[in-house]
Amino acid sequence: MKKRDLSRGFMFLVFLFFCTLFVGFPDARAQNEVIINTWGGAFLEAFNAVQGDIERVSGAKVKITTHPGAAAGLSRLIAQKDNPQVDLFTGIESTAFDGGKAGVFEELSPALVPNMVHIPKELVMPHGVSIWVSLRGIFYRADMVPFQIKKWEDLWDSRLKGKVATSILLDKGNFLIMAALLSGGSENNIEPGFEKVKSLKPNLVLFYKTDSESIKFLQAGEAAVAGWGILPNVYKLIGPGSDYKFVIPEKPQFLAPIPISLVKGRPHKEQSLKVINAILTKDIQEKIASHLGVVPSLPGAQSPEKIRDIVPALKNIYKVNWDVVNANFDKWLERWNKEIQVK
Amino acid sequence: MSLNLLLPGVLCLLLFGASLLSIGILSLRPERLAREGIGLNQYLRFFSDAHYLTYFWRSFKVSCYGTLLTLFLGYPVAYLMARSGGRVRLMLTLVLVVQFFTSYIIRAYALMLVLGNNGLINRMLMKIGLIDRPLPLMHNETGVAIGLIMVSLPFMIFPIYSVLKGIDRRLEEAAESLGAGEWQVFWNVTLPLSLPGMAAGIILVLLFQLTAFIVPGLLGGGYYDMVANFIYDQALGVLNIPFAAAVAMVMLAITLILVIGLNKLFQRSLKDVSA
Repeated sequence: MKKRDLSRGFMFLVFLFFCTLFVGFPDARAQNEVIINTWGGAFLEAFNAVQGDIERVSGAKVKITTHPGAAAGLSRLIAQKDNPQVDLFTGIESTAFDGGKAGVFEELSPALVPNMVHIPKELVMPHGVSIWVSLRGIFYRADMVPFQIKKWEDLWDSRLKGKVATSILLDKGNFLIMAALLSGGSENNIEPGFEKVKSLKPNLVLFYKTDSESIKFLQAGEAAVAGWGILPNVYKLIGPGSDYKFVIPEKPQFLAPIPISLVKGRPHKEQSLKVINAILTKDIQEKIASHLGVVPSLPGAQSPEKIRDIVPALKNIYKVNWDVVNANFDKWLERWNKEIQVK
Repeated sequence: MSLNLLLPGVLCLLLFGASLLSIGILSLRPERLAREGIGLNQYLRFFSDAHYLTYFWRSFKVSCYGTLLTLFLGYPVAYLMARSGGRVRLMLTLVLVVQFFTSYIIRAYALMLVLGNNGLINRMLMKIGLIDRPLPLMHNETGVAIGLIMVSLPFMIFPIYSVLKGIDRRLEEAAESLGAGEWQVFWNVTLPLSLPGMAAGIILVLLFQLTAFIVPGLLGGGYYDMVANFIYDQALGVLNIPFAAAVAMVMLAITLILVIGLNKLFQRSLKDVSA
């Protein structure tokens, strides 16, 4: 290769590098935008769909960025604590608690976000307010399961031998807590949960770490049942005539409030609070709910028709004590890996 | 002038060193969400429970025999590429290069569709009546090993191919003219001369398999998590970043020792070949 060709190639690489400075890092140009950090996929689509409405109601310019998962996003926030890159963060209840403890989130109250006054107290956390409620249950393929699944105990049915997948990481051990509740325990007494899940081992075929993984395994036919199913990502798969079914068993019932939290140390606090307030208005709540197949946090806002009949009443929902879970999850996971996730 | 040319490399090394240093510091944090304090708690915890070594044992075991199998499978392909005509070489190169244009996750997912209970292999074998229930090709060590070998084959083939291509054919012809058979020529001339390519391939593939995350995640079904999966669980599941960092540092130290050892071994072998 000639020397001139080499130097041309080098100059081209330098040119590409400078291009990425202007094109690849839009955050650097977006100084006046309120940045909302959320999941990709269906969640990003839902936020994109209401971005205009949020901007109109709040008067703030909004930009949506994604994180790979609530815990991963929070760990990034903790790492960037001295120089956070986002204003608002959506995660799950446990990450709102953990983030508060790690000092990355501001406290929220109706004095700061007026619409919070309408939100049921079960959906308000010290460092976050739920912007929708996601349904939890069993997601399965009717063409691979010889009966209609109705209750949690059905997962233990011998006809499901080698067909059930589950997860301890999703929702930080809620599957284990559910099993404990079925056997008279709870997160405060997890022993019965471990015993119960041990008895499920003949039916277990694999374990997933994320809900998108659970969908892939079901679609590939590697598992017939996702024992801990999360509705929004599978919402588009279910419906009349579909082989994919989602069931919310009675007792114990779980819902996952999805909190939005205000990140500490960002310059747009006032605008960010207005954005949260806007998200809690009826119109935007209903639009997000219809995109994701979730329940609006704001009472009076309508759930999408497809799920209206299966939404459990808030008073029946089991309220997980996240302080207990966060304090013990490390030990639970270790024990799970030693006793459950082995053949 | 020569110092200026070193600058980009030095900057990269500094950046790399800084991130390693920050992981090292994180590994010394005494508690899960702590941002202050220094201690060896995380390392003590790691070395106090033999269960954690399981992940290391799995990673080293599967990557050691996986690398060897990748070498045995990759060498003939590289040889064929180096010694065949333009069309065959182009076809093989295309097949291998296409892999680089496909996302790693997609490739692992595609393997799932081939190896799974409902996958291509099992369905085919059942259809022709060779088996009456699916072979357990996934959610176990076998699935992870097959996946790792398939995904890392190009990293073995290309370095060997580039060295084989550069071997002076007259050396082989000289051996043949002295009465050596085809197999003797290969064993005594070609194979030793291709050692640099094999060495590069072995180190690349070993490191790739040792640190694998997606393949054991998707093809192991949770039953064959390796070190990277364990680090992920600790960092992003439990948010215990200090412990995850400590495990990563231990892994780094062991890997460094392994790579340095292999390098020395290869250097000695290369010296013998040159002699």
